[in-house]
Amino acid sequence: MKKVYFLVVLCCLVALPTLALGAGFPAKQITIDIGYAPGGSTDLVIRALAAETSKILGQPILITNSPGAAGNVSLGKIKSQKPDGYSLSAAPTANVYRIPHMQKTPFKASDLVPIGEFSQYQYGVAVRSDSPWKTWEDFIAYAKANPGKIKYSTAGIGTGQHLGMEYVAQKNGIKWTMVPFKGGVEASMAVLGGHVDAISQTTEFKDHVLAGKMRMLLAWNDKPLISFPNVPTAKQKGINVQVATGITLWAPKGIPQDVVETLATAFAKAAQTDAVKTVCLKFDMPNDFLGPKDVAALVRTQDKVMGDFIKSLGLGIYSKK
Amino acid sequence: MIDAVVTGFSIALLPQNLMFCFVGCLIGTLVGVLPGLGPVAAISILLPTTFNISPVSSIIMLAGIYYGAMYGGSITSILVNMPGEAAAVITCRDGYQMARKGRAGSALGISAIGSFVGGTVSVILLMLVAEPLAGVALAFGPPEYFALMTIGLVVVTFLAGKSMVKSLLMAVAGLFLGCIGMDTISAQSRFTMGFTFLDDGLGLVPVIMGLYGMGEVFANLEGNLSVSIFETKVKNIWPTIADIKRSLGAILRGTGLGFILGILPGGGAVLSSFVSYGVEKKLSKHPEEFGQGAIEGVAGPETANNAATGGAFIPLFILGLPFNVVTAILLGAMIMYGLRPGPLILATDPGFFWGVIVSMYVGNAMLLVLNMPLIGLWVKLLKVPYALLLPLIVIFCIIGVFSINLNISEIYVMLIFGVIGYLLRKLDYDAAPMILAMVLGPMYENALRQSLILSDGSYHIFMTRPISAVCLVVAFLLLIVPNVPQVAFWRKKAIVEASDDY
Repeated sequence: MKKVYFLVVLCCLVALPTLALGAGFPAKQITIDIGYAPGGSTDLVIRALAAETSKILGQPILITNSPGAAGNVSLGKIKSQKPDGYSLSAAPTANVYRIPHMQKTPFKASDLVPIGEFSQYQYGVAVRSDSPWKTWEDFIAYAKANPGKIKYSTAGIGTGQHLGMEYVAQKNGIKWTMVPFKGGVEASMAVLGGHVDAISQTTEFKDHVLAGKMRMLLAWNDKPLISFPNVPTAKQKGINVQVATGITLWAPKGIPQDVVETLATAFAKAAQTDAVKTVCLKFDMPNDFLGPKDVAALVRTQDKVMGDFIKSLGLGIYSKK
Repeated sequence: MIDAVVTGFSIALLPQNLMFCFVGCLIGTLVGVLPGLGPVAAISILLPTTFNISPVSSIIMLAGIYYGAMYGGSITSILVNMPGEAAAVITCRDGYQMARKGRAGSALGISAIGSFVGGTVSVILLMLVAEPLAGVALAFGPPEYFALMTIGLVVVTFLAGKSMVKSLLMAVAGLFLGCIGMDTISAQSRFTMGFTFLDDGLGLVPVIMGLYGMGEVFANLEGNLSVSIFETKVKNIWPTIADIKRSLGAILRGTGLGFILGILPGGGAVLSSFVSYGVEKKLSKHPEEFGQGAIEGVAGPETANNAATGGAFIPLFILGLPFNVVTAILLGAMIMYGLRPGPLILATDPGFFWGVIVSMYVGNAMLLVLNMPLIGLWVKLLKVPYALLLPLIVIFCIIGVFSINLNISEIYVMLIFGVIGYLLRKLDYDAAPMILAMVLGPMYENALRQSLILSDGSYHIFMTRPISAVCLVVAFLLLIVPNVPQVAFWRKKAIVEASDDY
């Protein structure tokens, strides 16, 4: 019988952590669901941030990934979770104010509450180094002369890197095709393997450029990338499109204000640690943290700006095709 | 290459990793020995407990369960004439006959030695081919992935169960189950019937635990809840010179066969053990002894199923494609830990890759130690009454499923699939094609959609790209050959008859 007793005790021990619910937030493990596949910029940056935040809050943070539809699979899931602060989603801020103008989304902006926005994605366009395109102008000239020939990869429909390319296409009368992948790593591999011609994406391609396998032609952000100061920016090329956004931690609506504050304070503190800074630098990303109120305000104004912008271009849901 | 292996050893030999490797091998042998509880259920149950240990350690442990079960499975086959797990089915034939003739010790010994040779050699082969294959893997774009998954699904259907039609039905059902949830390109919910927990798709673990864990429990409730062990003294575990002479060829052939069939989509441990048995019988000078206790009939398949586990890690690590249920769970685990299996894993996570591979080498040595002197202990374990074992399985299944997402709905999913699993067993449907199709489904759909975007909607892309064209033609042939009389005969002989015995 001793064995049975031992097994029963073992079972209780396994079950214990899940039952230990008490007062005061956080009293148990927090889960952050990341909207992109593992190994990409969103994933690695948020994992680092979560590890530090976990130390500050004194509770473990479990990371899950629900890649797909540029992070919207994760956001669609989070909206129906309990608004108790134990379930969060990490996805680009722009998913709430830009993608709804590009395609149908499984959530409304009002379903979600931002905890805070971390960092800013750094984006660019890159091609294989054995491709004939040495500059952005070469690439555009080829695309103009060969309508429908260029395929490029991104991490999903309606992302900034997708919008930027479509904006360029429209201004220059180019026809090219976007192939969506589940994350920047897969999108980069598609270029390396020769399955698509170019990638418009966050800096997952950085290592391949440094290794000489890929060539970066354009930076979408207003400032050049830290690692590639000589690559021209979109602004320098006269492309007037705002692509940049950060990673916001989202909670379902109805989350208590004090829980939002507790989480935001912890994340803001974690953002300043060296461990987080190091991971951010891997992708040339800054480590700023914007609080919940500022993000909410940003979402409100940007929703209008983006709506008008995309409508004026006749893209996305305003497309007449 | 040498550097990489040294790095691998430096990671695999860390005390905590040695411990996890040992725990994995121990649990693997344990579930292998216990009929009804296989590596699939064990890995699913233990998955949630690994969240707080490092990814390398946890994959080392989970992989240990996988190949450990191959060792353990043979013990039950030989002593009880009941396969401890699927890949040991064929071992029952000659293994049990040997036991009846008082040679249980030799059968157990040769199967442990064969397993060790198969396991270690396949790890060495894995090391040799991993790097060149990773270079080739970049050539696999969406159309190639689509074709490769097609072939995998067809092979699994071809091999599973008695009736091809039943297997195809299961694969189609699996593809449907895989569609449940939000689609990965536009994030629209499909077939969720308003249940929000289904937005993420059906969880793999609740489904597997239902079909395998609970289904097994339900099925066992019908029986008389006792196992009759062949009452014999297990002695002379070390095989005689004559035994080794007879088995040597079988072990070497089993290693090669197992490794190659392990790499192939849809192949794996079960297939390779059957093929090895067939080959040995064909090549043997005394084919009439097969089924009467021929030692080659134990040595070959037992070697092959272990060698196949090594081979199966190649598509998993290099392409990120699982071609059997166990590697499907391992893929899920790796993704959960933030690892991205694929052509770049050798470059991005060399420590992880080589650490896990080398640990398999270490683990195989541990298993030899666990198996040879401790065989008596495993035999005792078979005497644990089912009345005690079954409730424990139920408890572990429920806790295991709940602890993944702390979501009670998933327990209901598990129970529903438990009933489905029971019915499938009664109606003689094999669940493996369904699970594999469910796991591959979303990737399959994604690859199809990406391919069609690449080709501007033209299906020609699948035939104009050589790798994809070859894979699809092979898949097509596999679908039609079962209707060719001779193949149907062979298939019946190899698969149907073997599974008919049990």
